[in-house]
Amino acid sequence: MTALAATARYELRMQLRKPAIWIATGLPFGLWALFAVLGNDSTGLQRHLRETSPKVWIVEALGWFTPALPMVFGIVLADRLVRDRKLGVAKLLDVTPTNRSARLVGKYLGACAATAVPVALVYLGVAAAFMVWREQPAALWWGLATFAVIVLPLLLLTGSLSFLGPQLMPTPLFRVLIVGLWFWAGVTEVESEFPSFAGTLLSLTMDYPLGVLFDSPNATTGPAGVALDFLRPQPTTGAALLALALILGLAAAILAAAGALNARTSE
Amino acid sequence: MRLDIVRVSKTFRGKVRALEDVSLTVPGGILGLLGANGAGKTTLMRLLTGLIRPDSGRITIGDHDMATADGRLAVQRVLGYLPQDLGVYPDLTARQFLDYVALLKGLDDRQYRRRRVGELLELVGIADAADRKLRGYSGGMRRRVGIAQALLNDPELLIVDEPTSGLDPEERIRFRTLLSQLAERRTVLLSTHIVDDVAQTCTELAVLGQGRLIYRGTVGDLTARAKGQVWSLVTSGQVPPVGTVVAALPHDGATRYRIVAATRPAADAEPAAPTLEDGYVALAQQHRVTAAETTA
Repeated sequence: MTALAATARYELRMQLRKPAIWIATGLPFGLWALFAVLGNDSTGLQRHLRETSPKVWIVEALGWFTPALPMVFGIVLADRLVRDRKLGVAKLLDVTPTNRSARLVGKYLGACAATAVPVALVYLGVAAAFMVWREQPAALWWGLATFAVIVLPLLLLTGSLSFLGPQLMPTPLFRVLIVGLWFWAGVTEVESEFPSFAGTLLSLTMDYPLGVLFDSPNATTGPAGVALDFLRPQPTTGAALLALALILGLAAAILAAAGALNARTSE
Repeated sequence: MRLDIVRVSKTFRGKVRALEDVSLTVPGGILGLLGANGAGKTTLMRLLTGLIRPDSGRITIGDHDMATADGRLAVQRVLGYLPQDLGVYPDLTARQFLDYVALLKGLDDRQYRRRRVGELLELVGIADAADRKLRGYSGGMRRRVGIAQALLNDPELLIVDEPTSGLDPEERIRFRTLLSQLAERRTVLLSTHIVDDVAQTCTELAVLGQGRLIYRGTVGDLTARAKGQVWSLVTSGQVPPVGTVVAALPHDGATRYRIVAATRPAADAEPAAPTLEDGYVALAQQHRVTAAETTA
């Protein structure tokens, strides 16, 4: 077994055992479910669900909780890399005949996969329930598609930020800043006078892929006549794919920086 | 496996000079590395494991040059390392932790890996607790896990940094015996500030002081250095302000002091037979004097 696979396997195993990961990822879902029930009378909700197409309903559901995911991922993943040094395990692993980068990528993939598990279970569980109730297999397929295109890239980006940030600052401070970043690059009003990444190709609420590829009514896309508009092109499929490429490229670049910094610190 | 360290120096950020012009050869067997805290022992160990690089000088282990990535990788394949402050994942069991390290050490065959982990858990005496999470392990038990992980790949070179700290007396004796047995067919570098560990396991030793190699030779020769410098003095009064007190025992309403000093510390002081600890203290005294003279 390669160092990458071994590290990913053990990281997944360790991370899945942390109650925090289940609580942190379960909380937004719980709140979402609560608001969904409280915000609609049950007859109205049932009618809404019955009359809505699987795609619209799944995208609507995703739109409800996507905004919270970067914050949750960032908080949950923040200690994964730095904890090896804090625990004193790093110096033991660094003398094994393995490639440090392979171990870093393994740790990253294992940690991200573990964080994705609770989200996948609940989100895809809801999609599966909807599929059975409405006898519409498409619900599950839309669930899988949105999970792969929206949730996973978001997770990979926040995962790399969480591998880099806590090396530059104390972990609690990073957790506070990731909440700030989530506000600034995600849920801020696009028309705000303060320049932000909201509604851009790099939006942490994935507006372009969500709006263009899944027709989400909650996504904000296109020029808004405010600062950073060069990052708000017309909402086309090309722009949505570019947004995905930018998010994944940024994730890879940040992870590489985290690896370089980690190697330097170790020496 | 032969170790050749030639004129190695290492300074850390903040201008902390950890090692200065250290040359040392270990042809094989077990070598004790003694020195006070901050003498440079851990830095030397980390250089030998490839964790850090020297600023100058050359380290060769077997046929492998530690200045090259290939050389470091080749050494790490045959290396067992127990760091001074060993860390473990508290949420894994001992068996899982060893399995993980074994995978990273290249023990890919699952059957062999399981057998090897089982053997080592038995060897270090924690087989009964092998499936308990490491979170609940005492310091001594964690140390044993550390020893087990160092032996996973049946290393040709074993580097152990303060291996007996945290072990109870019986565990310490057992581990020293194990080290001696391991040294029969591999090179072992035992770094410690516990002189007794070296006295009981090594015939050869090196001493570091303030980043420099201040002694390389046999345990017997270092012990002999204190010949004529060890004194026994029974007094209820003040300790003479000469030399270093290495032991103090209550004795018939007074105290029996064991003192290492170049001259007789008091008229009624009796000469005593030196031990390795006395030799080490005498060497340290001499080094301090030489260092002070050099600075002046």
